[in-house]
Amino acid sequence: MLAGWAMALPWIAILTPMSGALLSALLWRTRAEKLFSIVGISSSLVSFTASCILAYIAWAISPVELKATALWAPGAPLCLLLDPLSLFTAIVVSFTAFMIMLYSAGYMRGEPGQARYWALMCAFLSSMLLLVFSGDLITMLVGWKLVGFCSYALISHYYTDEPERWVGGPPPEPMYPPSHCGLKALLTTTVGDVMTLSAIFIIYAYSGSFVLTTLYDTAGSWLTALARVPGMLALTSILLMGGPLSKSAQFPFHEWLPEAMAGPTPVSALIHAATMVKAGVFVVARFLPIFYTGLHSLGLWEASAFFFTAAYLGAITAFLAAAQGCVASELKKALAYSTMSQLGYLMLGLGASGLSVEPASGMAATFYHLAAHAIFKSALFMMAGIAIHVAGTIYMDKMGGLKKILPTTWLLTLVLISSLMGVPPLSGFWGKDAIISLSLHVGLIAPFVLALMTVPLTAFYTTRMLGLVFHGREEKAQREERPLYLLLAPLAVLSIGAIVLGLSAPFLMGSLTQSLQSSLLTYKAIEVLSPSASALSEAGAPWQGATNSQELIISASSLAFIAVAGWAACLIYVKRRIRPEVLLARAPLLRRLRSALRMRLGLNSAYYIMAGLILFLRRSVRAVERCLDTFLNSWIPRAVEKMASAIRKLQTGHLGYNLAYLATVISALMLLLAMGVV
Amino acid sequence: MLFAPDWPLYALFASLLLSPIIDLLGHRRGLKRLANGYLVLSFGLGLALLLALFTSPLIWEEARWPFVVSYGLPGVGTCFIVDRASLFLSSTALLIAFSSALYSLGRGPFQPGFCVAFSALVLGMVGVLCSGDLLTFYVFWEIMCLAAYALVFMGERSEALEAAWKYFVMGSVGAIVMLFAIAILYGLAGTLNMPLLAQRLSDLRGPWPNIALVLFISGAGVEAALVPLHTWLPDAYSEAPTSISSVLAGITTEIGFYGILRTALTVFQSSSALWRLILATLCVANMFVGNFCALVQSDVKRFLAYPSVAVIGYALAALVVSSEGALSAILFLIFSHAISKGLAFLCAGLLSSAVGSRDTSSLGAAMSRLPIASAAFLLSLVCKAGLPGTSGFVEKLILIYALLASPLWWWLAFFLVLNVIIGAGAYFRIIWTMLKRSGKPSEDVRARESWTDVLPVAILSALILAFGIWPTPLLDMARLGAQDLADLQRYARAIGGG
Amino acid sequence: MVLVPYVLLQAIVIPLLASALSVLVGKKLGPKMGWLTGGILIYQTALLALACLDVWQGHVLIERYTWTSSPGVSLYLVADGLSAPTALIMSLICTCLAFYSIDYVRYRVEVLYGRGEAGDTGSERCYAFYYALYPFFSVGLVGLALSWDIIMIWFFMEVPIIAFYFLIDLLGYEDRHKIALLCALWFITASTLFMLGALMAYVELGDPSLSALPALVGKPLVRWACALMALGLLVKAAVFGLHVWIPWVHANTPTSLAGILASYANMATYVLARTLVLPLPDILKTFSTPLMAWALLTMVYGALLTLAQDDVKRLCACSTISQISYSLLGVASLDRGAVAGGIFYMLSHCLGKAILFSTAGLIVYRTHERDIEHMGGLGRLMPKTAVLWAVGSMVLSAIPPLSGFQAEIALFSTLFSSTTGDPMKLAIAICGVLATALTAAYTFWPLKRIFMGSSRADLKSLREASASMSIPLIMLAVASALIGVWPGLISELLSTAS
Repeated sequence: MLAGWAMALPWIAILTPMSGALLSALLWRTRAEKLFSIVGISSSLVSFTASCILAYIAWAISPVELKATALWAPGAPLCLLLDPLSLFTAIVVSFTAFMIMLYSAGYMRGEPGQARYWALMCAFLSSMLLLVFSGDLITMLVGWKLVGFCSYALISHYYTDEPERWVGGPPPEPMYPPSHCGLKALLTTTVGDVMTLSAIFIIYAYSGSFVLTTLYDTAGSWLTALARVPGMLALTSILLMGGPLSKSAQFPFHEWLPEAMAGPTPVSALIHAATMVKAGVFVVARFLPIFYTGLHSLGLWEASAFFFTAAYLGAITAFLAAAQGCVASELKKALAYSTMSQLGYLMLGLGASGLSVEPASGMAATFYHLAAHAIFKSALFMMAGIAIHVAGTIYMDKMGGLKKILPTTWLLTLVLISSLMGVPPLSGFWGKDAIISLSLHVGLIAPFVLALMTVPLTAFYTTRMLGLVFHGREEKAQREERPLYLLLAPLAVLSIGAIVLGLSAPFLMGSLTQSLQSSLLTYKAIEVLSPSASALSEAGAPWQGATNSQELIISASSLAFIAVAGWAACLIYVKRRIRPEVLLARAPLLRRLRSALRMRLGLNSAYYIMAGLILFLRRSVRAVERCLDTFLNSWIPRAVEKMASAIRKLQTGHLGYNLAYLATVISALMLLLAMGVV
Repeated sequence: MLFAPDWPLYALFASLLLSPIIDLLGHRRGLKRLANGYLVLSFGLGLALLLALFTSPLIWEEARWPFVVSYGLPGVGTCFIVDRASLFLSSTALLIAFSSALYSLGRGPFQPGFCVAFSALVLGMVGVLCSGDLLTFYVFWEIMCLAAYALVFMGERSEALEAAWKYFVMGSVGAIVMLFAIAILYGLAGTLNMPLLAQRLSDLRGPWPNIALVLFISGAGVEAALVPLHTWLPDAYSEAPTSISSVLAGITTEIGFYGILRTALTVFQSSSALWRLILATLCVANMFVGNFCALVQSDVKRFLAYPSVAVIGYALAALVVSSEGALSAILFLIFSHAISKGLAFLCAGLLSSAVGSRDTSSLGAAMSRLPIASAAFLLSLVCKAGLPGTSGFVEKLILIYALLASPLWWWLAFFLVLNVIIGAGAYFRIIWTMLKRSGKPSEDVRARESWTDVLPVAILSALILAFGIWPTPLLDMARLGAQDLADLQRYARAIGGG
Repeated sequence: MVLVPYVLLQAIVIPLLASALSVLVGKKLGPKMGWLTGGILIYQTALLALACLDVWQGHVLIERYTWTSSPGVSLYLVADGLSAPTALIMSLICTCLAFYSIDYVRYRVEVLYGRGEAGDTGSERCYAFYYALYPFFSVGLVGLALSWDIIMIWFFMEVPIIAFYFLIDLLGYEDRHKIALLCALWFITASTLFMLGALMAYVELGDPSLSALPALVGKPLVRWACALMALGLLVKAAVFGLHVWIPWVHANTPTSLAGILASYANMATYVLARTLVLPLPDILKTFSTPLMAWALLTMVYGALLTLAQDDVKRLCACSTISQISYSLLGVASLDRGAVAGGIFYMLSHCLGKAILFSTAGLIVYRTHERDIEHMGGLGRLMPKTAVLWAVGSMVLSAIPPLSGFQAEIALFSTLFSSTTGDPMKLAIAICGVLATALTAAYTFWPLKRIFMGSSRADLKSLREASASMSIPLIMLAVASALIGVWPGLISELLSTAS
């Protein structure tokens, strides 16, 4: 069990940035940029160190559950869960956050809304850590919703919508103001959130608990209860995927991410590349053991819906996004597409490992790749920030020749890009390859093919990016007046991180597998089939896969793909031997394909058709309202008045009538008597 | 006991006898206000006597009630039967009369005969309430009606003449029909003493009691404004001088209703099935006609006149049930209606005389000049609409409760509730038309509030609020009255079993 | 036990002191009267906080004072786990908005009646009038929460109607007189229906206290009684079809009362829970699912209706329609836990709506503009206001750390676990959760339209509203955040009740 002071560590990691956020929010009137940046950097550093120490202490004895005395609701305690998953992710998150805080200290200098920016960044970090460490679903949801809100607020950071802040285009592609992009992100993710929310409530209804460990332990009983209603389990698993899919920008909820680039670049780097978009993957991993139990131990085939959704949608996203990345015109948008496609890999990885009899290694590979991607992608975004500022445009084809101005940046970018491409032994290679081969191994043929096809596309768009930005003839560029060292230092650190991570891959993935294995095995309901060497080697452990021909073929083919596509892109964009215009002119099919991809295959416009539908509903609702309103608020009163004036007609001032009434009454009553009614 | 319950009657009688002289004096010596001051004093005296009675422990002694005074042969001679119901209603009548007299002290009318007629009206009402045989009853009834005709005739406008004429004709025809009914009864039973009549009719067979009943109801129904015999009412009330309208609308109609109530419970006890049926039909008609007609009036006094018809409807519904709870509800209803309607008429008079028009939409102009009057007016309307904190709320509560409690007639409550809503609509519509124009205080309104205006208004408003917030004492008194109304045996025993 | 004697009685009566003071000195103090009223209301809130503390320690405070003997109605106040927090939150909202009123009412009065120049007491009288009626809201809402007597519930349901009518008429927007009339008629109709049902129940039982209600099962008129009460309450809860008063009335009330109006409408679900659902679940069983479906329809329709609005105040008004239905959904499920969840949601929504609507008021107050189309870019000019709107939106669309999120969890977790046996109900519940996505749309889209983008040229000189208007809202936000971080404050109290 953990020592008392160690129990405080996760809270330190979570609450320090939150207090930092409150501090800068309260001091918003004093426009003390320096103070805010120092607060941000130091608080993120604190949480980084805290999570490192925590990992060092708790790794071996994990999983550890910390139950707080506070209750969310009667019977719903506040829990933190420290297991390899959360510890590993926490380190990745706080590290990238720290790096990016450093970067933004340089980058945000002189930008508007300092206090808001730093407060939200700190709040984001703390809620992300809350989400990662959360041991019960309510805490998880708190973190989940808060990161979503922070991301919304930071995307629309430049809420005054000056024209130069708009993203998208060039025409015919639509341009969007930042406020619009923020709203789009919020609403898209909200749609996913409510699906997950309902799934969580269903789970609670049957399990009677929000605490993760309880859910794991009692999975056997409540899953069977849930599965008694036909289709309920499948429904639950699909609903549950809604949130992760939207948060991690997976098909069909992916269209918000390209617009999310409207925020300041550090925001894109931290939230929309490194951390928040990984929340979806993390949550899927959190629920994986439950559905794994359902599928393998209880044999409820409906549970597989969870994994199939993840795998197929992941693969589709990976492929589509990569394809769109190849034609993207904005630098940051290209990076966004590549983020989506990499996240697609992660989803696929989790789906596959859930379907495989032995999930640990698959999860290990996925989380390894998660870390790798966090590092190189955030670094690439930093690069983009510098490049865009120097070139003075967001469009890649207007850049070029930055190699001369930014040699160091170029060098670092080379490293990062090749690791994104998946060049061994850099960090991008291992996880991706493991995931691909695992997907084949568990028999997900279509996803496997898509994932493999994604490899050359990745190589192509990365090389294209490099070429367009740094090579070719020099465009007019402005000097970088901001202190370059503040911007480059984190970039350098991260690139080194990418290399180190790549070199340490075999060891890291191995140990991660082992500890995940053991942590999973501690839960009663879950019996993982014992990891025999064969199972391990089969189930995607490519560093041993040399013995296995299948693995070899996959790795070789992916490398071949990389080489070919990279070379092709190199010819076109770096060496500039073949002009893309000429190529397009030759091949009309290619041209049509390009424009289709540029228009996002109409998916984006589908969103706006949805919005249009709502607007149509507005009109019809107005009509209904008008009907009800006129009926109840004017017809009924008018009817009453009509009746009243009709009755009033009896009221003739004429005396004769009055006497007649009297006569009538008397005779009527007499008649009544005569007829002997009584 | 220090004095007998019938003293107030005598006091009023004396004041009536004295009133012509006072009236004459007033107009000879040009002491305009003398006559009205005299009215205030005499009504005040009567009220004081009654209040003394109500505060004395005597009121709680079952055995003493009803208190009977009879002259001449038993069963033939004149006889007064005073019970706590009649005392309750008499005090109500005197309260309204007192406050109207106070009001008229400042505003008149200062016409010859006003003093006489007014005191005659009040005497007539109290006499009707206290009379124990139908002849006495009829006499006081006539006194009341004749005084009322005369007073309506004294209205400011020229239409008053026509209104008084209509009222006179209708009222007299009704009275004659009633007299015919009384004659039939005498022929049947050989007595007009109500308790005796009650006993003898119950042994009788044949259609005649029913015929008498029908004639009596339709005769008294004119004064009690049973639909469709109410047609004289709006004209009369709206044309009468304001101080008189408040009495007529506040209590005189209810006295007419009391005529039906008392006879129905005693004399016509035997044919209760018939009158229940008839009155149930009439009460629904009254409610609807009263409220619907009120809904479309723009003349404030006409508007205030109509709901009295509806209130008679409510009272009839309770009479149909005629359980003890229902009867006490009737008494409370009459009181609460009297004070609120009296107040409403007084305030309406103040406001409309200030702006010189009786159109509700123009009254708003006077609001900022006459804050107390307009506040009291709003209060009275809110009370009539039955909102909490006013006696109207309690009235609504106990009335509907009594109706629902009846196993046979509970469905009348639905009509009543429907009409409560319509009535509220009518009252708020008036408030609305009034407030619509109350933007800026208009310059042409130069009126000010003198103490003679404020005092009665204040008294009545205070009572409305007091019995709205703490109704228990009034409810207790009403319950005592209801006991006397309901308990026939004691009523019969009162005259030694006949 | 708490040291303060008669704590509940004081909580009901003390505000009346404020209105009495306003009648006396309101005209002299003018706008400053608001500080006095607010101070007195703070005392009430403190008392209720004490009561809550006591209930938290496991006591149940009971105070009973007889009001009328026959029919026996008593001021029967019970502070248990359900009523104490409700009363506290209601009182808190009224108190905060009293301070908000100070500047707002001054502004409205100047707009409508001009600055009171010397000699003309018109506008000073407006302040006295406003603060004389304002405390009725605290009385009504707190009484509604605390009273354990079904007749008294009706009483307290009608108390605020007076204040609503006259204050809307005094300071409302658009055709304020007509709107006030509309409001009064709808509310009176609703509460009269409730009253009829309540009286039926009382007649059946002979005891108006809620603890007697369960004995109603199997009585002949029980279905009538329940149906009438429920109908009356559903009109106030503005379910689809009966909601047409909200867009008019709620949108055009003086903004200082809008939060209170929302709370008043919300209290209908509380009363439904207290008078029907908790005592008589078996009778309502058959109606449970249809009622839930109705609530679902209402929340979707209301959300779309809200999206359809371009008028910022009308937008807030329509959002109330869909929000109330969430509490109704919980209450209609008849499960005790879900009822508690529904009440929790109601309290949170009242706080959030008070914040949101009053913020809309700030916008209108500064920009003199209600059409969202003509706004935009206000965020840079009024950052505090923008943040307040964001907070309100977060409460409504269930974003932590504010109470909305915890309320949603509390509601739906209990609701889902109560519906596991019943797929129909479960489907409704799931749809309910999915419908919350619309809430985010109709709160954050306006946030973009109002505060983001480039601002109009003629608004450049816009200033923040005064602190006396924003600080009360911040207080409400703090309360909401407190509940959001420590939901046990409410949920544990509620769970002790259910």
